[in-house]
Amino acid sequence: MAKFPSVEWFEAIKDLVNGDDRLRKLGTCDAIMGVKVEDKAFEITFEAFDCAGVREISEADLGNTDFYLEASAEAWQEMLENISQSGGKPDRQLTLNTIDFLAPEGFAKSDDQSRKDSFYRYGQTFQMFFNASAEIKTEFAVPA
Amino acid sequence: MAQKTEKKPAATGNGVSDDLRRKAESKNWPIAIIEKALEGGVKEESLHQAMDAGMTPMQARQMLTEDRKIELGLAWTKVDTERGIRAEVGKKGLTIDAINVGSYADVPDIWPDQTMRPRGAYTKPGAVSMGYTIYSKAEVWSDNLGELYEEAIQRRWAPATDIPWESIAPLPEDRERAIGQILTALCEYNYAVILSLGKWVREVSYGFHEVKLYLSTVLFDAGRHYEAFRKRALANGRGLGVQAPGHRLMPIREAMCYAEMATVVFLMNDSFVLSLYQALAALAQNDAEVELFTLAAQDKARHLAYGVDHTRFLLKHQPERRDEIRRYLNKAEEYLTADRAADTPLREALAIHFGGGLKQIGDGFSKLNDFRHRQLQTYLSRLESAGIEGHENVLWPELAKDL
Repeated sequence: MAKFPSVEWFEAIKDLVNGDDRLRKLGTCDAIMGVKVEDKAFEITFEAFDCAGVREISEADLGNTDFYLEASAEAWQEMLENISQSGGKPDRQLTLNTIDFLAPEGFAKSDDQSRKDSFYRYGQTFQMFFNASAEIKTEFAVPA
Repeated sequence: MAQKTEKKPAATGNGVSDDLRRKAESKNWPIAIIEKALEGGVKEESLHQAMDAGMTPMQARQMLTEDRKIELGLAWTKVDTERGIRAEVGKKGLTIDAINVGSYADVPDIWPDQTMRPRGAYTKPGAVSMGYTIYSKAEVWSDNLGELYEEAIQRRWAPATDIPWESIAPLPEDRERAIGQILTALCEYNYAVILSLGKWVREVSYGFHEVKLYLSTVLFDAGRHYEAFRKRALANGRGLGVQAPGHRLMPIREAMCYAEMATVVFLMNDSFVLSLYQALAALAQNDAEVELFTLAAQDKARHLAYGVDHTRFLLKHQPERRDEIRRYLNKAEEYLTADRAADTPLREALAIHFGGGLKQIGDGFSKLNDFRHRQLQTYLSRLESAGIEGHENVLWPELAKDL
């Protein structure tokens, strides 16, 4: 069981999506995605057909990502539990895109709009990444 | 033991045998062609076969002429093009950028050739002009063209099979009519892009083949969007809606130079359209619409990546054109707002869609206003990324009301 959020959790997802051709089928993706959960921040790098690396970073380093996804621990848990319960495909109200659209300040953030547009440009890839979490058992740091 | 001697055909003057002469006369081949072929080393047996196979004297004359060229020493193999090129295969395979090595990577600021000569090939004297009008790199270039071209090929999708059309269940009539009206407008937009790019692709000279290749993928994307949106409109019983006024499409159709077209399509209109695709994916009524608008948004974000990077490149190399670009933006903004004012069907359809039904149309208009504000903010942020800062101060006044 991997704890969310942690490097171990993101590594487990990375191994899953790199373990078969699910990312390759979606096509190339070059982007650096940040994830911010409360005071923790992570960087997930996508290169060509793979998830190339994950690491924990400082909040200040989120500015070096193309965009970062920021939500409360409760919101992350709701999304990931929904993905798990529905077998790897979230309800329409809990896709990355819908959460971003409905959040007044947005879910995907960046100081540079052209870099933030990677969120839309590779939308399927990022959704696939989080959908893979249905294949592992997740322990949440802050129970809902 | 008597020695066996080989029987040779009896020959007449100039080395042409009687057999060959008789056959040439029966096939109406001038004897001069036979003599020329023999002089050139063609075997008598081959000439018999050629005449028996029905080759005409004219064809024979052409072949002899071409053969003569080859005999001149395979000159084409000795032309001064760069050899020894070894492109590296990377994680993405052998990409269009990977083969840009050595002199083949040299993309001049002004392409000097009016012909179809591929970049790096040897110039053939006398090749005809193709009538291109764009020879300036700054007018069309962007450093991410190769990457975007490969990505367009890699991330392609097929509306017929990649969209779960079977997920579309019957909807209330107001909801179905609303999405049909929205899709009618989007079909018209994509059709305008096809018409416009179809014209501009041929104007770009071949020195900038990355531009031609990339624009070809955008043309295909626009065709795919037109196809997919039309399929969605016709998939659930209500069909298309009313034709849009079409004001916003006029600057696309009537762009007088490439930079104007690129600004109006890839920077201004595509920004507003991407925001709408995102909204339609978020407000999807079935899995088919989620998939459809998510995939369309991926394509549109790729088009914008060119628009932003191209504008940066243009303004870096021709900064004096900044005001010109602003004028194109203002013109497109003016036509967009004129379209919005006149397009009651689309406005009401969006309000129904955003509100969740005809009964919630009031709430829908409020949400539409919020969406317009965010759509405009995102547009201004993209302009800033492209190197056009402070555009909020010179926005077309009607559009500035959404700020």
